[in-house]
This record gives sequence, C-alpha cells and structure tokens, in this order.
Amino acid sequence: MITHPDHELLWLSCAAKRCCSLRTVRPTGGDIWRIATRLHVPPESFLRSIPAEPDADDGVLLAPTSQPVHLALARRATKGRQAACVFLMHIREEVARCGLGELRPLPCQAFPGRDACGTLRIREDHGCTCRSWNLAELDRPAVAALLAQEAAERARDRQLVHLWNEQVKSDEGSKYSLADFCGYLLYAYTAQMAEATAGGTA
Amino acid sequence: MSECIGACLACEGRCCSVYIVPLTGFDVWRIVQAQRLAPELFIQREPEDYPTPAGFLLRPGGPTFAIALRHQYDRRNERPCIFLLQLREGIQRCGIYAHRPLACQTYPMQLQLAGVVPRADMLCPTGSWMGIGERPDEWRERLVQQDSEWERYALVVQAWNTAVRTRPADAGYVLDQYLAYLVAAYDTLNALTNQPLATPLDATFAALANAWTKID
Ligand code: SF4
Ligand code: SF4
Ligand code: SF4
Ligand code: SF4
Ligand code: SF4
Ligand code: SF4
Repeated sequence: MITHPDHELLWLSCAAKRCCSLRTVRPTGGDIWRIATRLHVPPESFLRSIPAEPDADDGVLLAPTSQPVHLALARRATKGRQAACVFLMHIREEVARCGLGELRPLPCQAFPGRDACGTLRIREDHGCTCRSWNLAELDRPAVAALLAQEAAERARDRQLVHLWNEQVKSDEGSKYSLADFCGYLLYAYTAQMAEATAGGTA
Repeated sequence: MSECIGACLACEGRCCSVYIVPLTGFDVWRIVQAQRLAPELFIQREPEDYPTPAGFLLRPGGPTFAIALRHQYDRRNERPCIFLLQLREGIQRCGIYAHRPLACQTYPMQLQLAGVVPRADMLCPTGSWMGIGERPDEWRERLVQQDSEWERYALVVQAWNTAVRTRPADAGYVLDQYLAYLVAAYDTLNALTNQPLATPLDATFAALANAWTKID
C-alpha cells in the first residue's frame, strides 16, 4: 500500500504543476548526488548553470575571473509548450507529474514552505494561480525538517564550493566546465557518504 | 527498462519507445495510487488479435480488448512511453521507476524450462546483459509474480465480461467505465488481503462488475 502525507496529496492532486514550469529549482549537492547515483545519470544530464545572485557567497567559479554560477535543474521545451523542469512528465495538456517521486530535490519536497530565519513560511513566489496556500495545510514538522536538512546540505556545499574556487583562482589559465564541477561535487559527496557510513559503524 | 544493474546505461531506452506496454489491473492500480492520476489519462485500449482470458468486452458479443500505456501526446513521431523522461545529452529514464509495470520490470527476460533467458527478439544493444547470470533469482521472482498477476487479472476481467454479457445486446460501455471497475476491484482485493475472506471472491467481483456495468 502506498501512502502519502496529506500535504503531499494536495501537491500531487494539482494537475498543472505550474510550480515546475515557473520556478528555478536549485538542488543541493546532496540532491544532485542522490539523483545521479540512484538514476545512474551524469549530473550534467539534468543540470544547467545560472548566474549566481551578486550577493551570494556560494557561487561557483568556472574560470578565475568568470561570473560565479549556481546549479539549477535543467528545463526542456517542446513545440508549443513553455519550458519546464526536465523531470516533469507531461501526461496531457495541463496534466503533469514529477518523474522523480521521493528523489525530488529538498526544495521541491518542502514546497511551498520556506525558512524565514527559523520560522516556517509560505513562499511568496509559489506561482499557483488557482489556489492559495496556508500553513495549516502543511505537515509543519515534516516541512521544517526538510528545510533544516536543506540548510545543512547548503552549508556543506558552501565549503565545497570555497575549496573549489580557491583551486580555480590559484591557476590563472584554468577553465572548467559544468561537468568538471559536477564530477568534483559527486566525488566529494561520495567520499563524505563513505566516511559517514564508516563513522556510524565505528 | 528493467533491472537496475547498469545494463541500460549505454542504451537510449529503446524498449520504452518501441513497444506497446501491456498492463495488468495491478499495474494500473499501483500507478493510480502512486501518481494520483486518473487511469484514462495514461491508458489506451488495444483490440486483441485473438481473444485471450484477459481480454475484456465493452459490449455483449463484441470484440475483446487489452489495455496498454499511452505514448506521449506531444511527441507523436517518436512515440515514447508517456512516462519516459528525456534528459539532456540524449539520456532517457523511466519517470515511474518504482511503480513501473511488470512488463517493464521483467524486460528483456523470459522464463523457460531452462531458466531465465533473454528474449530472442530483445532490442538491447549487444552485450548489455552480460551480468544476467549473477541475479537469476531476482528475475525469476519477478517473472513468477508477473505470471500470477496475469492470472489474477484474468479472473477480474472474467467477472466484468460475465456482467457485460447479461446486459441487453445494444448496451455499450466506454473504456473509462471499465477502468473505474478495475480500480475498484483492486481496491477491494487490496483490502481483502488484510482480512479473512467473508464472501467468496467470485461473488465479490460479480457484485462489483454489476455495480459498474449499470452505469450507462
Ligand atoms: S505548488 Fe501550486 S503550482 Fe505547484 S503543484 Fe501545487 S498548486 Fe500546482
Ligand atoms: S524535480 Fe519534480 S517537483 Fe521538482 S521542479 Fe522538477 S518536476 Fe517539479
Ligand atoms: S490553477 Fe494552480 S492549483 Fe489549480 S490546477 Fe492549476 S496550477 Fe494547480
Ligand atoms: S536505466 Fe534504469 S534499469 Fe537501466 S540500469 Fe539504469 S536504473 Fe537500471
Ligand atoms: S513505464 Fe517506464 S520502463 Fe515502462 S515503458 Fe514507460 S518509461 Fe519505460
Ligand atoms: S532496450 Fe534493453 S538495454 Fe535498452 S533500455 Fe530497454 S532493457 Fe535497457
């Protein structure tokens, strides 16, 4: 028997999934690692780079003087339809579903919740046109736990990005691709996961 | 796409674009549960070339049909499965992997007297399934489950057909009605697995089929 938490049911029952067309989803390094290893796909098959916001402290450098970038889920456009997340399955016009199931990135799972300095809020940019969300509809402890996990993974990503950027800046002529950075990220996560498992059994 | 042992890594998902994937009622029920999708959105009917025990009627004395997964509505030329994800760089993956139909879970293997062997007509690139010898038990388990699901499905279909046959000759049903019956029948079966059987199964199906075939 497959059961869904209530707020996930609400989310599943929205047919159009506008949030998956309109929003820019930035997965965490952990999300990227989970998707790539479970689906056996290279991260560059589902990611694109977007310019990091000017005040971001976790933008990735691909060359010593390049504009820092962030990783976001790639989009796919088909004839006569607005671009949408590569993982969105288009069942029929105005009916779509996420193809990742429980593997979907933490920000998607926590949607439409967001963390406002430790308080759970509804995102302002949720993109829904026919329903408004209210906090009472969310499984608040579960969403708060997802947001906490997301914050912890982003803190770890920030450290990994700093190490990477130092390396890039130390060599004036260096030039890397998105795939190079993804390779580094996967390598680092695989090492950390192995360590965590070893630490857990020791 | 079938077993996750990396065999499909180098393949562009040929089996997911070429075949018409046949479904049992259990496959339908599981996808409906997991995706909260109305069955008629992802299912099409296929006339049977010759009647089988799992072929259902839509009118008394009419032809029999099977059900199959639809293809993507907006990519008609390539005809990929409705659930196939197209990632970048030509990579494709199943978007309902955990709940994909039994036919997909067992492809490209079949059960023979000699044991589990790849189908002679498989579409997989040469060498994909070199590692098959390592996990024959898992394949066998799925292939056996597939067989027993087809048997169970045939019983559910026969209850429906019996009810349809008792209706006036001009009574016709649409696919949506049959699918609604299917989901209700498997809901009932699922509930029954948790309790001892009060009424015989045949009677339960017959009651359900009659309930649904009265909706005109
Ligand atoms: S979050 Fe909004 S747009 Fe997204 S699926 Fe739900 S209701 Fe639809
Ligand atoms: S991963 Fe799934 S939930 Fe997230 S944006 Fe893509 S389709 Fe939507
Ligand atoms: S209007 Fe919003 S909530 Fe309603 S179906 Fe469309 S996207 Fe979903
Ligand atoms: S494509 Fe699917 S079936 Fe093939 S190896 Fe990967 S996960 Fe397994
Ligand atoms: S359900 Fe999944 S595995 Fe089966 S044909 Fe469709 S995409 Fe392929
Ligand atoms: S054709 Fe064979 S190798 Fe290719 S995806 Fe299908 S099962 Fe895998």
